[in-house]
Amino acid sequence: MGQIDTQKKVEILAEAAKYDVSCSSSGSSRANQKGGIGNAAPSGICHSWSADGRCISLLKLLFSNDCIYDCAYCINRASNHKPRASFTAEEVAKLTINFYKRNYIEGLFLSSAVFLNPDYTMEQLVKTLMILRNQHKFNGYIHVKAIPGADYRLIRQAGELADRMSVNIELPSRESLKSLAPQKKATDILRPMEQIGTDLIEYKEDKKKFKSTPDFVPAGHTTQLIVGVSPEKDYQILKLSEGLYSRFNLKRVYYSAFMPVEPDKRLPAVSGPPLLREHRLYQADWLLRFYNFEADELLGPGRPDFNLDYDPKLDWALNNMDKFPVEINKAGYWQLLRVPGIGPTSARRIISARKEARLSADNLKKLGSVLKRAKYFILCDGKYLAGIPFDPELIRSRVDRDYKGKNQQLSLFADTDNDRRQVIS
Amino acid sequence: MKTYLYDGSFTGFMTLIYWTFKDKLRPAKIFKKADYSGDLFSETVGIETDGELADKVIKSAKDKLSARVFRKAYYAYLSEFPGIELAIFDYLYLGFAYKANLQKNWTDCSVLEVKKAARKVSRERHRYKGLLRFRELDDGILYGPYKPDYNISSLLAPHFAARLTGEQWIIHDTGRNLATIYNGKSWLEISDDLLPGLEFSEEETDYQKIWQEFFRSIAIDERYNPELQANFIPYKYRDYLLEFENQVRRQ
Ligand code: SF4
Repeated sequence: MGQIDTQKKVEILAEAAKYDVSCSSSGSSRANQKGGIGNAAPSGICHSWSADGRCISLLKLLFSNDCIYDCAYCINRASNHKPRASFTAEEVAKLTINFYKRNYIEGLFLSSAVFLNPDYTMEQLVKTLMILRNQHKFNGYIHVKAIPGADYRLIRQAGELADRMSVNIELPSRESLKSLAPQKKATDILRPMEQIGTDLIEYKEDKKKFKSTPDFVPAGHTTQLIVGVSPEKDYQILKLSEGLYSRFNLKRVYYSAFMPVEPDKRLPAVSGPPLLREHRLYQADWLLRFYNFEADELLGPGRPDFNLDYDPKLDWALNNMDKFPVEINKAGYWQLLRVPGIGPTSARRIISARKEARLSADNLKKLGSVLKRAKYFILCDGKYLAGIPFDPELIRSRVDRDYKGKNQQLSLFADTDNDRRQVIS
Repeated sequence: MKTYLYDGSFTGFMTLIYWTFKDKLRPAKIFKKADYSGDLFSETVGIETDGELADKVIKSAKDKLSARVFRKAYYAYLSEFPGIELAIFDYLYLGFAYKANLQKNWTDCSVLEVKKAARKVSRERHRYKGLLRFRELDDGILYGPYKPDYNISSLLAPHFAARLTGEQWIIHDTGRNLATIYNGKSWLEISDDLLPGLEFSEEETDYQKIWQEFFRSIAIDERYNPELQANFIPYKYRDYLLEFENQVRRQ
């Protein structure tokens, strides 16, 4: 198989893989071995940024786009007339090594359409990983997809070779799965996720006892949900994520705004991807994982969708004015974190700085809090700094004036270390 | 007060630190010999580089101040900012003589200057871990030309030595005419006029084309956002990036 051939396949199979949003390569650290190539760096390295502003760190490919299934939202569905191609395991391995040694990439992100059948597809992915890890002694980062419906033994084998694994749920409810991805069974998706979650713990336990136990997806497992292709509200989606984090030991949920591909009568008519909605979900997800929020605090059956005008934390604060203002010199860490404009860094700094002396408004600015936003919600040594009375209606109109409709062009992908910092403060 | 001159190497600079600390003399200015044109009024002292004395300074900085504090000084040095040597002198002096806690000091000018320079250098180093591109030469050696703002090759070398351990490679700083070469075991810096002729391997252009194709295919048209892209990857970084070849340079 010559290079021209590979080039043509890359064109088709990178194009087909690009809607998968997770590109982060952080969270794993793997040392190189003797005679080997590569290591995994614990802090993510971006190698380039594509024309849509996304970090490129992995060679993201489908092994094949020749799908036997017909999911309505997917460009690779069987009924779609598209050029089809499949790699061989050797081909992907060789490409990865050659990209890696030229420092184009941190590693490989390998996914696939269901080619022939789920087991066969999963076998090909495992084979690719084996060639890379055993033959080429490749120690760089690998993220591999678990194919729904494949024998779990194959999935486990892949997990012993990869840094990260993911099973994409894509549709946030059983009903939507049934109508839009009729051949995929919900249990085929959820069961491997559950098993991966359990194995993650068991391998870790075993490793304490037996040194020879291999690592099992050391960078954790993740999933992706498509936003805006099915009727679920933000509340339902966020509840699902919350459940996934707690029950399946999941590392991340990625959200992907639905991109209208080829028309299909099962699909809603949309003009463009709901990027801002996706952004709000990322922000809320962040609040669940690092700010100790619960989905039910942010949304509820009576208020099932995020306010597109403000970020979820500010929105929450405006709806919970009875919890404010908080005294900056007294509030605990988690309470500080809930103040709009105060993120983990400034919360930590406030706590360590106030041990030395009581904080004034000037000190606060130096500590990196966004006072412009926080001033409505705090007292500083008993003083309310906003320059207006503490009146929820008045505050809401001030905030409206300052923020409504702004900042909407911020980072729309919350998956690199760089944009993480911009997500919320 | 005197002007001190050293040979321009870090070892030379550390030797300078040794003598000035020993004599408790703060230089009026510090220059690399090559940069110094001389003036009528200042008295100069030439420092003779001495590896052993330099090592003494480095070791005691690491032991008495901390490895982190020393690293900041070294990174700041690599910024090559005019006058940075004197700031590093003050920074280290503050640490040694007054036992100041440099990590927590956010007010002293020299400390701030050193930290700021170190941060810039560290950022550029992190950036180029991703942005350096190697081309394969006909003898299998990987050749990575780039033009960084700061003198960071010595910081990148350990990263690539750990990663591309079994390969041979050259990191070429085209602005400083410095080549860092790694032979599969260890690396050293040489002047780039010693580099042999560079001929690409047969497969090299194929892989470059595939990479360019990949780069093009991976972008999502509906999210096209060149401003965001330029935020992350300013134009000055694009000269040696294969994926930006043939793209119009806008400014
Ligand atoms: S199984 Fe996967 S690749 Fe195939 S149509 Fe469904 S989503 Fe697309």
